[in-house]
Amino acid sequence: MSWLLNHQRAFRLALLRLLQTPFATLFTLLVVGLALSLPSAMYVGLKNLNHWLGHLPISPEISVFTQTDDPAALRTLEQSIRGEAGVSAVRLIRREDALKTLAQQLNINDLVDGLARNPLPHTLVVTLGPDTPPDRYSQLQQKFAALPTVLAVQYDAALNQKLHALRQLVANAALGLGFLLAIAITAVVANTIRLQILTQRDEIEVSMLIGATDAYIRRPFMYFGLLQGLLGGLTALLLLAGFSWLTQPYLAEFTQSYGNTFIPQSLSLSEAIALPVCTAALASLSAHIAAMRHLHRMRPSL
Amino acid sequence: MISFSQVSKRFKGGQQALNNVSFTIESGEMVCVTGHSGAGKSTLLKLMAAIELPSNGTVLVANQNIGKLRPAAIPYLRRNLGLVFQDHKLLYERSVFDNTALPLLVQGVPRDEIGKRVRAALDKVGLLGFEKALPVTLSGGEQQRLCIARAIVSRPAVLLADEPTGNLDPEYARSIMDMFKSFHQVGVTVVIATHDETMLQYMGGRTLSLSHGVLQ
Repeated sequence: MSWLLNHQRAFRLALLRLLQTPFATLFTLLVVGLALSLPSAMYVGLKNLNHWLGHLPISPEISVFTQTDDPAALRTLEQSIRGEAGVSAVRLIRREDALKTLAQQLNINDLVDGLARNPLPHTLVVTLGPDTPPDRYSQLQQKFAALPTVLAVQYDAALNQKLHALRQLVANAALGLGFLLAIAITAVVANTIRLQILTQRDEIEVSMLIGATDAYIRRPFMYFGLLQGLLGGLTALLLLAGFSWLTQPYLAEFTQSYGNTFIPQSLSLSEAIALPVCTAALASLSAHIAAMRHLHRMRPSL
Repeated sequence: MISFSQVSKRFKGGQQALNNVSFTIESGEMVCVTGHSGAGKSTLLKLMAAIELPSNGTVLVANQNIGKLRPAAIPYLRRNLGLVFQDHKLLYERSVFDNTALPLLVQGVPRDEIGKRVRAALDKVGLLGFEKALPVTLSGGEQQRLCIARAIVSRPAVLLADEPTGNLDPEYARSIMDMFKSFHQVGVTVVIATHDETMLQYMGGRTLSLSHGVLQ
């Protein structure tokens, strides 16, 4: 029970210290919050970009042309394509429809009417999942080409490559930025702990002299860091919410120009919970290490 | 209880504080350590509380070898010792109650138990009724008594006091010494460092006399 009591007291002490210096606390929380909101905003942006790319009419597709006219053979072909990993949708464009569209687009109705027979094949349009790597496309192209009744397989390799590269770039940038800012948070928290320890120097010294263990002295600082991380994470969520509220009208205007198929994405509930939890863990770890280092340095001066 | 065997202490700067000191203090004994300033009185007490470590020789306190103690074991050793510091080492922004309660907080004593024991300790040193006061509002003598209350609140087996009557007038100093006598009477081992001759005579008991780090 004394273990629980010790933790309760340390937590209360940490909370008290935070509240005793409201302005310093506020600024620290803002710094941590801002440092966190940037990669979080970037993450949300990436999420939206991915979502948007998935809804673009130019999303990379593989067109499989087939020579068969037999409905059963068509169905078998469609099923074997659907069975491949990474395939998210298969759409059949019948040769009659294709000819009609072509005639309309090129305005050559008369010419088409004069044709003895439809020269176009049936086409299966294959859409792959948004995270499919570019080499999977070429793999599938070869696979589909080897299927029975297939005439040819076509896809826009260059566009596909570009989209993939774009996504990779944003993802890596967000990751790198997140890493840098995790370091920033660690430094901010470690610094506030250092200042805390300096102002509490007398108390720490006396506590050591009357039989306080290192863990006892470290504990309030750890909770101090934990609270800073937790509240900093929540501040970041608030900033993020404010930011998306401000940008919402402009985003809506933008997406409308793409036919409104796109609903802006925000952090999911689990992501919104994970953010403050992760920062709290990071901050308490940083506080623990900072306290350990500084207390260790203090000992010989007794 | 406390045993020094050929103990020397040399500080980093090369200054020799203690030179080949040997003595034993039995459990329940009251001993005064005396000598001119700089004779090594404070160092002697600091070695007992593992605040300093011996350069040579063996210091045994409650059967524990100070020189070989793991750092993690030091806090538990100190919980058996009541320390009264020359410079008080009070927390000046904390109340008299909080200052006295500190050793109990450190040991994880429950709240109602703390209240009882703090009041008992303050009663013994005559500071009951000052619980909410800040140490700065107390006189020098009262601060010294607060320091004693903090030292005895966890009922230690050993009381170590460094110049407890340092800047006090003789009347006040005597009342402080009476307190130590009464702790000794209830079985506490008491070690007092002092350079005050009249106090030595007043206390009686055994005296360890140091001169330039050597026991006379």
